[in-house]
Amino acid sequence: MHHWTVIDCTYLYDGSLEGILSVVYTCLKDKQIPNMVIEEENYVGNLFEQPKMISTNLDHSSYILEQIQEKVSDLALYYVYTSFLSSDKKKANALLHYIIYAFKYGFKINQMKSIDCVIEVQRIAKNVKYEAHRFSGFIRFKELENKFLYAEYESDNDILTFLADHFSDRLQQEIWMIHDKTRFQIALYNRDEYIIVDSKTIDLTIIESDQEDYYLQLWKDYFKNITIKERENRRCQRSFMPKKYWKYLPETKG
Amino acid sequence: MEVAEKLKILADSAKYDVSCSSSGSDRKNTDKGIGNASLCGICHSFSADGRCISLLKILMTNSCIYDCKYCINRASNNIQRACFTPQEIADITINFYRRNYIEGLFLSSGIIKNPDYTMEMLCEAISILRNKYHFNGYIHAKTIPGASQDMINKLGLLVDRMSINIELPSNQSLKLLAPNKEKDAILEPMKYIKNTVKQDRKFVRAGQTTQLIIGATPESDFKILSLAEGMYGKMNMKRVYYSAYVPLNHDDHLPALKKPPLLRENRLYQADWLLRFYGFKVEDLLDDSHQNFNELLDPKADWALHNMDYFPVEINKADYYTLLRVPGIGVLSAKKIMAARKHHKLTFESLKKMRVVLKRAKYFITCDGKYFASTSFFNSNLISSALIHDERKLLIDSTDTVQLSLFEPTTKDRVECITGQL
Repeated sequence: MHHWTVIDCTYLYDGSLEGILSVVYTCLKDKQIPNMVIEEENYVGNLFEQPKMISTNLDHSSYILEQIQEKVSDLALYYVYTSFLSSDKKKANALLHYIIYAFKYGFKINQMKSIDCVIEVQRIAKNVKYEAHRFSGFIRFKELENKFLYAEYESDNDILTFLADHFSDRLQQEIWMIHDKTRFQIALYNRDEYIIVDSKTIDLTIIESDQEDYYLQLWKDYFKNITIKERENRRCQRSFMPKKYWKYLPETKG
Repeated sequence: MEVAEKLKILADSAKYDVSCSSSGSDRKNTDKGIGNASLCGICHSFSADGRCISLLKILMTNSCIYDCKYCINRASNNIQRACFTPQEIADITINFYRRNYIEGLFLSSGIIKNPDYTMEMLCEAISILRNKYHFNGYIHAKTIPGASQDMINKLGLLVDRMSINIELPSNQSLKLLAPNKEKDAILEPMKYIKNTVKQDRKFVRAGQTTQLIIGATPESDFKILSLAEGMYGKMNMKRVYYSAYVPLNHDDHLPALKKPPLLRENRLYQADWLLRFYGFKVEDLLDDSHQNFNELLDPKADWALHNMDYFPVEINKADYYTLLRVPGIGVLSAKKIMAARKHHKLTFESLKKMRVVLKRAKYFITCDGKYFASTSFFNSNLISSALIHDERKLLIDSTDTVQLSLFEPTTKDRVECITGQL
């Protein structure tokens, strides 16, 4: 990247993946890179800075995606999509550098494990994937009176699509809803496919089925009885299952 | 008896079978079915003793015709006995599964009437799940000692994993503490399953496992680990579990331990990982003159200190299994190093950037010929006291009890045990 100019400016984008990719397109065209890329919502300026808002252009962003697919690899695409789902404020900047390096090195990019932005993007993506994996275990459904299943959670990263994919297969004969309360979005599955909608547009009155209390209590009792008292180690329990998850884990509520 | 009461009794009795894995099966969902298996397993919750909960682990019944001295369910114990019906088991399992409380079922049982009769009952419960409810989640069933090949066939085609617990690590101990169980009653089914797995992909597709009780009988770590090595080699065992003895009964033949030997159990798990992923053999770690693990150090660090002529290892040239011998370099770090060095020379700085933890590794490696400090630091006494000091600190920092005992496994140990990073 030594032939590129780093300009003393912060680029802003609208928070979407297309926004970040539009920034990438702009940088490639102008052959210059800002010293920082931040989501507009998170931008806190100072007297000396003159930030530049890069508008989202869908043609530009599609072009970048196609180029990554053709010139780099599916794995790189995976890293781009997955790290975008992170709540890490530095993701856009890392992605910008990563994609530019990726165009330079091609499919080898993901093996270049001592380039900073590669480490960063892979770390961020791994973080997102790890949270998705944890939640595939921590999500708890309630049976509603119409026999639908309903689950809700709060997460650091946007993992709803991972969860929806997972349960579309596992509970394919059920009708279920998974509510991401952090982002006000809800996945709805109808035994065929799922859609994700704004949860504020739906009436979420929950009426539990008459079996629900019975099975919930069985689960809570099971959870309590499975502990071997002589091996009790709350610190260990908390390190595997941090308290921040306990809000939606009914078995932890005694 | 109400189902809730049965569940309390029969979950309580099943918890000493420590296997918690829901991994190893590639079972897919079917057209009108519910459930699938996750190849790497999923932890749904963690109990107050820090163990992962991923399956509904229960006994069909805690009545038993045998009188094994260490077992809470032994025939001569005066405890409340209960028995599930097959339908009850299927109902609880499917409803827990729908709510995503579990990955599946772990079904064991005390022995009623005879081994085959017991196996038949397990088959009935699991049949309802597979055939009536079209359940495709994970099922682990116990092989009842003494079961016939016919029954093993029947059960093996319904489940993902089977296990039969050796429990006592030697024939003498078995005769002393579990006289009803003949050695062959345990080994013959094991062998049969191993051979049948080879012939039929759909039979016990996640393989078999076993368990050894640590500390109820006098066998050394060397004896226990040799037995485990044999299990992995000759019986294609997927996992051997080591369960620290928890005194449940009073008996002249049982030791009156104040606490279960958790640190010892931890060292065995660390050694078990070395056998399975790090290319170690038991004879590298222990022998007749050194029969038990060092409590102050993990087995890999201990090996390194006794084999200093193997080091230092050059990060840019050493092969994969040599890298794995370095204390502090685990499977993930070794793979990172192998990948990164194809593109450029690695220095201490690049290792740090790649998040290879150098705290212990630095004593044992060179980067492009350079040691991290002057060569006078490459001294086994010095390194040994540095490593022990760190380990002590870990133990003191991480124990949950006010009474700090040197001999408690740390949370970090446990995590590293599971991720394999040693």
